[in-house]
Amino acid sequence: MEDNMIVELYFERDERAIAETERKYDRYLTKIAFNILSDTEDSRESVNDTYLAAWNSIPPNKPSVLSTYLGKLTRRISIDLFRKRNTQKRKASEYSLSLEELSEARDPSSQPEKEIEDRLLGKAISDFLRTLSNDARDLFIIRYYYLDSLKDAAKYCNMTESRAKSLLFRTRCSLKEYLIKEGFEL
Amino acid sequence: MRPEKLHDALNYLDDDLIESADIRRNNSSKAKPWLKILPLAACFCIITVAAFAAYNSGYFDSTNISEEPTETENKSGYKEELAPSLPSENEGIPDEAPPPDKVTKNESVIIESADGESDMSDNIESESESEELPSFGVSVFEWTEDGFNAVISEITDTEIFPVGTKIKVIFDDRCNIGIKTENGYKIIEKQPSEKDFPIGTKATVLFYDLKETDDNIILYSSMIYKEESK
Repeated sequence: MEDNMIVELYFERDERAIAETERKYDRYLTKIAFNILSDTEDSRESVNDTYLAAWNSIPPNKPSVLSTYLGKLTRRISIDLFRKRNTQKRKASEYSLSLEELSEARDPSSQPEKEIEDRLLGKAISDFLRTLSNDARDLFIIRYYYLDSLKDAAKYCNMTESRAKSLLFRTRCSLKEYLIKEGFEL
Repeated sequence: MRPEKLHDALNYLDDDLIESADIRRNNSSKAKPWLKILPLAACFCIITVAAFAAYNSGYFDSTNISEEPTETENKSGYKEELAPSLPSENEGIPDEAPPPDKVTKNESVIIESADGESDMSDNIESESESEELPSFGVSVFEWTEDGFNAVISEITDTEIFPVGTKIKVIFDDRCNIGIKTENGYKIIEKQPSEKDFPIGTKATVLFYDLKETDDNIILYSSMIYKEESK
């Protein structure tokens, strides 16, 4: 089923929207989740949460390319889950307990501020990526957005691992210089 | 800036950039079925041709069968004769010793402090840490106050610069010496010196940063490896 038809089902609040989304994108989303979480159960949980997030956000959002929209949801949910699991795994200590307590005292109104900062930084990185060759740009996104392994990323971009490694290294150095020039604190 | 912040920011990349990269991933994975089927098809052809050739040459003549063959033996003999070693997945790819910045599982790494006390650490998997730190094989030609000057003598796992390029290697007291042994690697927690790498020595330099100026290419190193002296 085409993306626009699936989106229509969401707008009509037809539950077939989830089934169609799952049929078309389950494997794609599971790979993104697994790259981050390295755990089948957690990946499953993350993908299921993605379907719920999609149901709750469409409408009002009306994505034109569903894969990208869903991919972003899965990535964010998986990273949040990864951080939460890591926090749980830390040995119980007064220090980590106090960190949790202090985080509750953080001003919740700073969350939108964080989102604005992230958006600005994301835009700057997008602008930087547009200055690169297609190979360098796609390799960077495959490695650091999709979090595929270096080996897989090199394979997708039809290059050797050593060339991919060199290219990523140079891109990281250039990105650092670019962000400093744009006034971001590193 | 914390790495987490960068990862969060990547979620706000422009959609068209993400789509373009995704197309490349999909095109590559769509090609897989052909790659998987091709070796199987090749094996089938070899077996068929070999069987046909053997039949024509009279291999299946009853006088050639050895006494009291068991069913299994005969079948395995048949297989050995007619199905020579099938091309493996890695055929044609020369074996390479793992580059020194990757310690694979089951290789032992001995960490030795400068005063000689050692600590055996088995099964250290440093791939995730050093996976993206490149290295060069170099030949040292001059020692300086903060490191040494060298010439790239071997491409190990990065092709940023060609063999013959002159470079300056800089390191501080956090840089250690690595020694490649028969069984794995030994790390000596000691800053490299001219005594460890005299002029003319070949070494492998693992670097975490590089700077290109008008006069120089500078590598900032965290580990310098040499072969164990025999």
